Amino acid sequence: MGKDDFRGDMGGLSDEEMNDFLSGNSLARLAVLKTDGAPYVVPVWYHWDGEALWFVGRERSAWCKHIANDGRTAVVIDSEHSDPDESGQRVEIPKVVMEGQSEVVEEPNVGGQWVDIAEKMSYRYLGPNGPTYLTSTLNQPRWLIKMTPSNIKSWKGVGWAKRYWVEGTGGPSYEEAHGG
Amino acid sequence: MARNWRGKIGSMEPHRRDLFLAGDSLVRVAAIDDEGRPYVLPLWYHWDGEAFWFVIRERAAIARFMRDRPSIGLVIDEMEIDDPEHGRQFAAPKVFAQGDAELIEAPNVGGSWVGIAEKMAIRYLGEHGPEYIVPTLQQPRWLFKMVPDVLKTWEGVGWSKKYWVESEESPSYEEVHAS
Repeated sequence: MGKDDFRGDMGGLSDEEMNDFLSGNSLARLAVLKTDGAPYVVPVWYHWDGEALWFVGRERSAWCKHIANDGRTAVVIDSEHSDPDESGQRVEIPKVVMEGQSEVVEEPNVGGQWVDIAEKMSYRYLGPNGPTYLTSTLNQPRWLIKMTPSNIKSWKGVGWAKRYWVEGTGGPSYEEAHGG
Repeated sequence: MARNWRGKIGSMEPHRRDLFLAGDSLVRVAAIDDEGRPYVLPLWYHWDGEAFWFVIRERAAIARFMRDRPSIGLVIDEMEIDDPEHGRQFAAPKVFAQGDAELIEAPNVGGSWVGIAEKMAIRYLGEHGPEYIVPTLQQPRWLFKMVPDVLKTWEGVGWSKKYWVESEESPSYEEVHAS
């Protein structure tokens, strides 16, 4: 692998690339605030409906209680590469960061709206084992949480976004370092 | 203990934790932004057995947040690692840490961050990693260290027993996890 192709194409994701990437099976890492004000981050399954992220959490999960207490959240969804499309093209190192308020749509319950969302997620994340895993835990109460992003940023490739590059250090310029 | 597609369920022994942390997984670090909201990014890390080390670009907002409000949380996790050749097989490994980020070096060129960046480049980019990072070595970097106050580990896809709510209608924890 050469230096140039290892970096991949750089810049933000197009809308189509972002929606394709978010329909894959990367985990979300969700950051919440603990009651002492410290940030806490946890890997979670998500469902993206095009406008909001949905999370289903176990009754005793600390992160759900933290969200019920303070809805300020941030999430990053990133991967080494996206799933290849029909022509075999894939995006290297896609990364989506969202910040926004999360709300509790359902307190812990059995049989609520969360079941449909959990089923969709179990197929995406577990494939054939999804339904098996889910069926045995459907009687476990879950929270349903919705995060509406107020800010979305995306990146791809491993190069530096130009605004991070400091010129005049005596080292190579941005263009020199990036093979431009 | 259940052993099936779910994998071994429980916390990791320290040697296993270190084996997992010696791989090429990213860390996701959560900090607090200037408005008091959480902020989270994937970063490279170096784990020395007692502390996590982070080398961050001068203009990355998260470094400023960590300097101004040192309390951070982090997670290093994978869905699966299947690398029997190097003795690395894990189902859903997770390491969580909470603690204060300590500023070791303000943005600079040539500081002790370089040695750590080279170690990380080998882990994340392979044996030629240090060559790939040469074009960026003149870019100033912050160096932070975090000694965890809390370190929790986990592996296996099942539920920790403390999360399981027993009730008459639903299968017990043992029924679900025994097969």
